[in-house]
Amino acid sequence: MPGLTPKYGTKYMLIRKNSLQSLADTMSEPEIRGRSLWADARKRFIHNKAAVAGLAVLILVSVFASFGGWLAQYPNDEIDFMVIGQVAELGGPSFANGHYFGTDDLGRDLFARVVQGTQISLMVGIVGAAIAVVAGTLYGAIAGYVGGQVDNVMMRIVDMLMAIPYMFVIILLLVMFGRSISMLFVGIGLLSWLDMSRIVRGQTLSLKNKEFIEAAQATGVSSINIILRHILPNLLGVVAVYATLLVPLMILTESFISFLGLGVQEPNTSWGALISEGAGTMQYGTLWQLAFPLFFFVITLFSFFFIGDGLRDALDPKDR
Amino acid sequence: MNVPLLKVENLKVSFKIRAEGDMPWTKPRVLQAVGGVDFELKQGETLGIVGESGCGKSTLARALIRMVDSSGQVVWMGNQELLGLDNAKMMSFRSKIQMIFQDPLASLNPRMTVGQIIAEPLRTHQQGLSGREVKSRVKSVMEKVSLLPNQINRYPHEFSGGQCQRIGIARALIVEPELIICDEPVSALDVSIQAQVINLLVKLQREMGLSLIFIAHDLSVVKHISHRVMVLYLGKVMEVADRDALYENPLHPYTQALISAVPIPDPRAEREKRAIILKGDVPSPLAPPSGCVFRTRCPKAQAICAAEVPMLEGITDRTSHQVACHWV
Amino acid sequence: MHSIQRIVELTLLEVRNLSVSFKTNDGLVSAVNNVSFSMDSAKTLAIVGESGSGKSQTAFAILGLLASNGDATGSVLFDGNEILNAPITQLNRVRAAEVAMVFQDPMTSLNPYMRVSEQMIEVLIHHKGMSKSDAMREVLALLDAVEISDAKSRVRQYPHEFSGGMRQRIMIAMSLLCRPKLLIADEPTTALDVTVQAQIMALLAGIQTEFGMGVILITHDLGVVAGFCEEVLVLYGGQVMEHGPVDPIFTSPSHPYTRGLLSAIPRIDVATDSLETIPGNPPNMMLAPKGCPFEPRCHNACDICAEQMPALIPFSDHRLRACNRTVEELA
Repeated sequence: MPGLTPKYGTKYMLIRKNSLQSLADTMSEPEIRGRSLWADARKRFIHNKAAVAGLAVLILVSVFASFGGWLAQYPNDEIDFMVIGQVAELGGPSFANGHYFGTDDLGRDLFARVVQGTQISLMVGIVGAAIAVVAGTLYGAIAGYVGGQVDNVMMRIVDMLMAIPYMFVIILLLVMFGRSISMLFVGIGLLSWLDMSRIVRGQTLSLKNKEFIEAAQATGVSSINIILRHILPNLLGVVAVYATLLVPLMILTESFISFLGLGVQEPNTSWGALISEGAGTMQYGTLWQLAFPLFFFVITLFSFFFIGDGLRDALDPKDR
Repeated sequence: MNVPLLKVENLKVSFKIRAEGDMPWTKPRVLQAVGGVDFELKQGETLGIVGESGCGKSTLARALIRMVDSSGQVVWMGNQELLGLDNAKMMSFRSKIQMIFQDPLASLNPRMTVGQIIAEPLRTHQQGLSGREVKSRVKSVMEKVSLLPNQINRYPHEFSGGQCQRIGIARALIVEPELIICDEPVSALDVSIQAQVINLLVKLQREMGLSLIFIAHDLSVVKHISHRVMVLYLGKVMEVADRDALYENPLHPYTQALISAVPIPDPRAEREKRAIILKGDVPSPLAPPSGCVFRTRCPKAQAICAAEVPMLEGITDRTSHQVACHWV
Repeated sequence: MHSIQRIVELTLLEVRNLSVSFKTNDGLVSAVNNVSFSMDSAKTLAIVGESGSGKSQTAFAILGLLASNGDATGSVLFDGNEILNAPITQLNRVRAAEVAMVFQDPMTSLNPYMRVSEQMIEVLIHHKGMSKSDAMREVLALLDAVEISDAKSRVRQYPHEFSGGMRQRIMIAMSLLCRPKLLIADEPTTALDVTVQAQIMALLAGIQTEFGMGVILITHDLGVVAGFCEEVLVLYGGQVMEHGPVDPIFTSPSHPYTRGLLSAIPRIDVATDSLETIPGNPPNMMLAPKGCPFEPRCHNACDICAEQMPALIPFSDHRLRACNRTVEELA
């Protein structure tokens, strides 16, 4: 090193040696765990108080649906002859007689019925959304990635299905093939994936032009692997957000149909059916019959919407 | 060993352009992105391709590895015609030609770890390898591009631009290709990082005997790294020559203007320099000028330039220097 | 004689201890640290730096254009008036009439749904109270000045009908509408091809002398600086590394960073076998360094460099540098 005074020269050498040493140390260090985008999103989600509260409420509701049956003092279809005929006077919520939520108009335990209604409503929501996620994502990703005429034909089919009035089809199905939960699933599942497939296709189209997809193509990765390895993982964020917003929509649809009297059949029940019954008996002073199912219905929907918003903020790439 | 690694003859790429909302039966307009390009690339050599935006240099690169459809001939090692290969064969052939992209971060999948990204070509082309072997190969190639191997589980967004480009280079190297096509590999990088990446490419080329096709709009960078340089304008070759011949004695008016327009980081040289300032902009490739495509901006243009397309011909004393101009 | 002339020359812009920081989700990021410089009227100054050096944020702070989570401290005197964190009405007056800005991407400041003529005339009517026909005449004159051929018919077109180079010309013409005293050009040619870049830089140089404006050119391209500017300010990691007239900075750079930068550029007029490199990576502004931001990459670094940011001190004719080692000590 010409031009360096000896004082600095030795120091300089020392620094060099130190940095080489630290370089050698890092080389032999164990592998560092990366911080994935998911981990980042999780961190942001946890900082979102409304979303975390929503998640907590949702967990409580699920626990209620799963284990509430153990606490119930009566089966959901047993009529309590002690209260029948005097529901307004004797059927109110009470710990003394074991009807925590009171009884319904026929003297059945409302607690047991709300537990069962919660199970069925949540199941309808989650299964409906799951069908939408699986079918819609695959369909949309394929249409978007393959492109060209295939895309054209696939999306025109979606357009045609979308032109059919949704509620009308479900009602028709239920009337023609009889009222049953499985028919309800078929009806909801048949149509719920349409929006999802459109959203996914749009996302796929924009992903397809990203350089990392081009890099994979240049390497010679097959189309299936590109979709599985590169497109789908990058779609998951959007899909997750949309799915959490889809669950309450499914629940609402089911409730509406049950409210009309076309949904689940006795002795099974759902939130919609319970709310419908509760609303029908409001004038007799049995307000709890409406209040309890409505309470669960409302907090669940709110939780899902808060979680959906929280997820969207957490996964939003603009924030990175 | 006189057989060129790659011999390209009359390579043409055209795109059909449909305006938004056109009826299916309206005839699409044809955009000739690459209009008949010939060149040879020797083993271990670097061919620089320069030109302004829209000159077709990136399309040319994609045509070579058949990511876009093209016509003409691309002959590998004198015996393998690439454009005629069926898709499956071409897929496996791609391990011999790899590519490096312009935007270092965008060319890496944000949801994959560095290890998964670098291993992808290996998993595609050598499927029999065990997980252990793949990992040790990834680590050794990471060392080769001066990335710390213990970073293998990190994600792209945790790296700076220069490091991301090293990841991209490692991904290209892992299948031990013979040719790497670099599409503007340093133009998105800062000056101080740019030099690191250029030096790395040069070092790897020497060590591994790689051939490079180096596409860039920065003429100084191309000069530094290339053995031969090809100048493109609106999809046509204007001039191709050995590096020194082209930069010291540019013959085509376009090459002359291009070189004189490059700013020099030296105030005195810059003040003394007489830049040839071209008039106007590059014409639309949808309606290229007749005859010589450069004539609308050329200071030397005459009637013949509009009437006849100049041939790309070797100049008399040196056949390796080829120019497409009526006035040479 | 010389000293008297210096006093008579008016200081157009004086920036003192300008610091800019941003509040983000992950904490406070400081983008600019204690930047000071001054500029005389009708001069050309280049602010050179790599991405993340704070060069654009410096300009945005001067014009009060920082993003909403940004915060600027220090002082910016324009024509003797404090304009940093000034009330919006005062800033608007300054931005409209005295300081203009040209961006890298002209489309960010052109309204895609308005004809070029409407956008330009609007400015004149609004700020100068001109009549419509006077304004139109002025617009055409300016479009002629930026060498847009056939200005009369092209002025009725929409921005997207122009090429990138043409749009940049329109942007320059727009910035000239109110005859500003200072033009800040933020990477005006980065998105353009070399031949178009040469056109635009020649145009800017012509207009600068014709209109007698001061120009601040923000760029990463040292080649462009060499041809255009009289003075250079080198930024790294939000700090001024070196400041002085263009010739000595290029011929005898006094700071290790400037030296490294100049030798890292491949040059078209000189053949080199291998490029010098600056090792390491640009600084992470999330973790503000205690000492000199260049210390981790500097091969002249000594112990104090990691501890203490050197002050920007004069060392020769009109030159300033910020380095703990003297020029003679540098390897």
